[in-house]
Amino acid sequence: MGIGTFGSFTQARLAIYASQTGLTVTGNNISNINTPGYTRQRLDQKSFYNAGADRYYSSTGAKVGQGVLCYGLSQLRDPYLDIQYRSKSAEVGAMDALLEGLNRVAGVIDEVGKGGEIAEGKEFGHLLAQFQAVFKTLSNMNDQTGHNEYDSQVKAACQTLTTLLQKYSRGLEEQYNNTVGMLENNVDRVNTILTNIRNLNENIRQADIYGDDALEMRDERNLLIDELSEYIKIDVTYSMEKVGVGAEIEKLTIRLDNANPDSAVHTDETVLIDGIYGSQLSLDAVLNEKAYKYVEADGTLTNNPARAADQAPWKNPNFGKDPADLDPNYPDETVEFLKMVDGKIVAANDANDAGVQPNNPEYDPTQEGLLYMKEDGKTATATYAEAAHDPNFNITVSELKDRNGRLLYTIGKPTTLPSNEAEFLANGGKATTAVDPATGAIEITTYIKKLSDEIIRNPRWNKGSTTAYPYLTGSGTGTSDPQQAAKVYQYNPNFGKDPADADWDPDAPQDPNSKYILVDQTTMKPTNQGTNDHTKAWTPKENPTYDATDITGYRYIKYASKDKDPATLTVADYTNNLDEARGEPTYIKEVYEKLPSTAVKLDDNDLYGKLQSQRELLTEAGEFSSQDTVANIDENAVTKRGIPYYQKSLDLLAHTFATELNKINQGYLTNPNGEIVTQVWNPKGGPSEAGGMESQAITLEGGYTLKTSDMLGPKEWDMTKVPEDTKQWLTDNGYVNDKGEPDVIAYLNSTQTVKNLDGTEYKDADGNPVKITAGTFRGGNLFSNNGDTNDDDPPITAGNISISLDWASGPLIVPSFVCPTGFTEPASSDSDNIIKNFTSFAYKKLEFHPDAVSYEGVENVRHDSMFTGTLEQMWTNTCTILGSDQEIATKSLDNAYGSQVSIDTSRASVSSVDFNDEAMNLMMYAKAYNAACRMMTTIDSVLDKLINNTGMTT
Amino acid sequence: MIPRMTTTGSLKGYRYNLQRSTFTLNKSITTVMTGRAFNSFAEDPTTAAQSFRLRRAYLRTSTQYNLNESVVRKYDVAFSSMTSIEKVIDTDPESKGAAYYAILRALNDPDASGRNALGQEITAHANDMVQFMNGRYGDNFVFSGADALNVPLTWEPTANPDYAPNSPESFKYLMDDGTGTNNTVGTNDPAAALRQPNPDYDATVTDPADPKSCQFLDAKGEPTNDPAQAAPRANPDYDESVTKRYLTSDGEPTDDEFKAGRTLCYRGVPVDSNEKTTLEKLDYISKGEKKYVDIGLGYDMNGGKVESSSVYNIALQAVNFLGGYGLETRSYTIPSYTDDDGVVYPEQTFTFDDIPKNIVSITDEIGTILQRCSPDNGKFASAEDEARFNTLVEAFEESAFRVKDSYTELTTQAQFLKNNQEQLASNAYTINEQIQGIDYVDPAAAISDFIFAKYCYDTALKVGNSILNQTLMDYMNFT
Repeated sequence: MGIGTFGSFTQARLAIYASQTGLTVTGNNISNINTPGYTRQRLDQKSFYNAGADRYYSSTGAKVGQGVLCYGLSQLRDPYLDIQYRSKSAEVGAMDALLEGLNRVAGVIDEVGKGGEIAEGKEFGHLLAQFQAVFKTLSNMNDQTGHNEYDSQVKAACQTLTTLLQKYSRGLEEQYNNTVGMLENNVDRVNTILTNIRNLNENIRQADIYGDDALEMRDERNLLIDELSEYIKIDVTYSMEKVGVGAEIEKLTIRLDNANPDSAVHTDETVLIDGIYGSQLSLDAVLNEKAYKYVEADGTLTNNPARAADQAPWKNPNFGKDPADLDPNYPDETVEFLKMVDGKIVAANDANDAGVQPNNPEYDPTQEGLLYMKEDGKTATATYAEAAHDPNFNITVSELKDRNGRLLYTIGKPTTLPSNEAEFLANGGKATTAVDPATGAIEITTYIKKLSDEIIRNPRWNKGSTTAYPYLTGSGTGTSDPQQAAKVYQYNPNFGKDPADADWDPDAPQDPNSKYILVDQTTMKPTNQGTNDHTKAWTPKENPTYDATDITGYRYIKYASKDKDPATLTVADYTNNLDEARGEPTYIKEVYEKLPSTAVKLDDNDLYGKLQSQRELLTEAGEFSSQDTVANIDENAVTKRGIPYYQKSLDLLAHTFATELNKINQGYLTNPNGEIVTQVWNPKGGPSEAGGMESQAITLEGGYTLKTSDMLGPKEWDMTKVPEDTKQWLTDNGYVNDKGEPDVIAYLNSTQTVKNLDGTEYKDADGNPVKITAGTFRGGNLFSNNGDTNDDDPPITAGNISISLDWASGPLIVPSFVCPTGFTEPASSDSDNIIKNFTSFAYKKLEFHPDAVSYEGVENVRHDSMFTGTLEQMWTNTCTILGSDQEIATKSLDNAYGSQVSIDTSRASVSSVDFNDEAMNLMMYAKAYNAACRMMTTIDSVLDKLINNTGMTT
Repeated sequence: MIPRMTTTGSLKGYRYNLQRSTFTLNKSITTVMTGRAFNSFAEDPTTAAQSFRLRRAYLRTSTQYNLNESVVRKYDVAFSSMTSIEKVIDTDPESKGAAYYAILRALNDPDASGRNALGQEITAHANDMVQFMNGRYGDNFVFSGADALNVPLTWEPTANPDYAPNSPESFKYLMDDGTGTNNTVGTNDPAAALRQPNPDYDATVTDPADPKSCQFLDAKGEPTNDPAQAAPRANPDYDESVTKRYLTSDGEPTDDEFKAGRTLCYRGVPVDSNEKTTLEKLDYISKGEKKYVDIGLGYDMNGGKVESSSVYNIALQAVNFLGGYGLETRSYTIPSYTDDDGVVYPEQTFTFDDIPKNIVSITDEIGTILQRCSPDNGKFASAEDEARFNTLVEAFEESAFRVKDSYTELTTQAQFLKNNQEQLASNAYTINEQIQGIDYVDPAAAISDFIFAKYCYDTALKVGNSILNQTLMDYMNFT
């Protein structure tokens, strides 16, 4: 098309517009150079060319474009780099949170450089130095045995040690609680991000529909997605969604990015955002078992009766009972069946009306609605916010809902099933719906009558036949359809007449007020009734040449007559009704399943990123993990170490220290051979050989001499070492334990009479027998789980380790159990027990068993030793493991962060603003603007010449 | 293709690198300030673990050093005591002031007139020795073995070996069941003695004047029917000596503690006894009792017992340093001689089975015998005394050798402990050196690292300034 005379002005004007818009876009880019997440924009232009034939063909023969058109703005972004960035972002988030958590643990327990003046070589670490202080005071006591102040010194050192252990334990607990708080905050933050993305999706969707690019909203959304990717490893996809009338708009879907190494698990692909639908994350709460009526087949608690594993009518437990024995939570004895109405148990009419029988044995009707347990583990609450967190900090992804709280339903492809006419007719051909109460899924069934394609046409049909049709149309052609026939109005001859009139027609309607004769609309024959409605007062124009046997007027042969011999066909075999000509219809139904979005309980390893690292910091106990956890939740649990690992390591350390020393510090007096002794009278013994008590090894019936080596602990005897005769003797004499089994300890604690050396009964100066305890027990627990008692059950841990009440009250360390030959007491400064047991404890390679300390709710922890070494080595090992984990996390974070920065720089190379680029654009658009203006001037000049000066001569 | 470097991209990269540069600078500052090669386990877990291992060793060595020092001091006191003892028992005939010098004088003095005085001096020497051995280091008795809270050597009244307070021989009277009693006759006392029966009693005689009608005899042996007057029935086996707890220095039974002779006891056990249970006790104390300490000899356990070679026994038993315990048999023959009156005394051989081995007991008994000598002429109280004196002198000489041997052994032990002390100090020093090598940085290296990090940081700052300065925008000039 050629350009009109003034078209060039338009061309110049478009050029000015384009340049100006370009300058605006450039200005926007420069303005937003520091805006986080801003993606540089570009003006999309194209040459304006109007195709098609000209009404007046161009006189120049050349078709010229008509200028420039700006058709939009676009962002410069590389989706592949976004994927890479977000993948690294999850790794950075994961390592950052892990390292941050480990650093906080290290802040509590890492003792490098602590405990002394720097550069003096005395930074022994607090706990390590205190362990040594305890051993040093024991060493002093070994040298200065028998003086109470040395017992006090050991006690003071142990007191400091217990204080340190408690302080470390509290420090770790504080870090644990802080991490819980952080996890809660981060879950909230993720939920905010998800909500914002969902809302932005909706806004962008609206903008898309209206044709707006919504670039700034996309930037904002990208920023949020970037942030989300730090918390959770996500998979972001864009797809096109039909919005009707052939229009498609972009839809954003965000799902978990398959982080679980177990390929059989698919919860790690859970959708978080589906267009305008979004989910929320929640930390699982501890449920109140008593508030749930039903148990599902997989053991899940529910109050949805449809999901109960067993289905039976709910019977009233009070039914038929003595009125005196009624449970007040249920209706009286006259009511047989029950149901729930508005959260209350009421009587049901009968078994059909009854609710489902609760199958949760723990169900307690008084706890109705109190679905959760609080942190104390005892109080129930109806509020999630007050509920205690699940110890595994499991996360559930909620149903996908839009801004208005409407649930997302997805409809799959239909299943086609056979049906029949009756079913079709029963529903009047309309679709039916049914809701599955167990899942909320809606089943939509559409009933379809499928007509047969088999139609038998009349080969002799003649549309123009004049005899085959009973009626004639207005144009004179034949027709079988009275409606298409010419209308012959039937006038009432009696209209306006009096019945007395002679021309009153007795066969016509006897109604002088009706202008017309009413025609039966079925038979199309006049009746004897009158009417003024002309639409019901006509008959089709009859064909006077109609031949009722002429079959050429029928288009079809009836389907029922299709197999007849054509020669025998009569008019009754023909029809113009397509339904009669068609084969048998078939009936089908299509069943659509409309599934509601459901909440997904995530598997232990479904997440990767900051959230998961914080979860693992809170839950991973390394070697202290239950074997059930390893088998059912995370096979790598034994090698993952979070705060619980360090808490339990510290507990194990404190527990081992306390229980070993407690064990060492208790027992019965022995002779130098380690045989437990009792007192006997030696007439030649004692000072100056004037007679006195001496010690003698205890040998029981059956020749069994009691040795400390046969003791398993201060209160436990290895009965496998005891001969049967001795066991029998113990039983016969009532020396039995609580279970009635023979027990040497029972004998040792029993009261016996003192004997002479020759075995006869000793009598004092008054001739009376003297009673003593068979064995002489010495010592007791040095440490307890509470400073007010001597108890070591529940187990002693770092959090509760205390100096026992007895030790706090006075000296308790037993320096020696060994009575020198002939003596009834150990020598005053003998330190056999200290050098043999306490000192050896400092050197002893102990086996640290993860199951040594039992925790409520954690069972089946493996027994295999996790470390063999001294107490201090165990402590150093724990710190080394922490240091190694920190080192790995640091390096991983460094690598991931470096990669992320590199990818971000690459991303910036595509998407970010550069001053040089924009300067070039500024110059380019400015020059273009100037040129366009120049062009305008030029055209004005030439047109001026053309209009004002053409043909003028001077 | 060369990647498009943008202003924003350059700034991102710059921020990252500047942050790293700041981190490196900060780390090098910390290193210079602390002088430590690492400040957390995380920085170098292996070295940190090694450092703590060395620190444990250092602290343990330090503990052992302190303990060893205490033991050395104790041995110094022991050595001092033994040196005093050694002087007392010096068998050099010229060593004046020693017990042996006095003994020799008592033995060889022609007129023996000073034996009593010498006896007193020698007894005082015995007492001195006991006092030396009862010395303390701090609150502990040095030579008490593992019974350091109790005085090791005591003089106890000499026990009567026949003392048997509840034996049948210890009762004066007999009861109905034939067992003894010291109760006299009582009306209702079930433990009372029987009444002495009248051997002539005849139940058929009814005349109260007839002695045969009396059932009992009174204290004078006269017949009586008054139970209150009746004498208790005497125990025919009654032996008064078994009722006396002590013996005098002459061997007479007595209940008077102050008249009793004295017996040297170690931790309450008589040192000079051959009684089986007493010897068992002394055997255990002397040989079996140990008080081990860990002074860095490689403490080890073996079969539930402390490996003796890996620890040091600091139980110093007084009896082991005083020539021993128990009794031995010695004989002495007094040659035939004629006294001043011309009476010829034949050769006499005495064999004693109760000669003490312990030098304090020997010295004490020598003193006692000498004090029994005649104050007039200094003669021994008896030939047996003379023979015993000479026997004891022989025993003294042998016991003195044993004491000297143990003194030498103590000297060796004390020297070992001092050497060990030096060894422990040396070990601690070496470990500390190792710690210094592992934990601390070379200041020169740390400072040059810091200077380099500072240089890098400063340069990075300058680079940052340039990044923000130079773009085409600054050169644009529209007219």
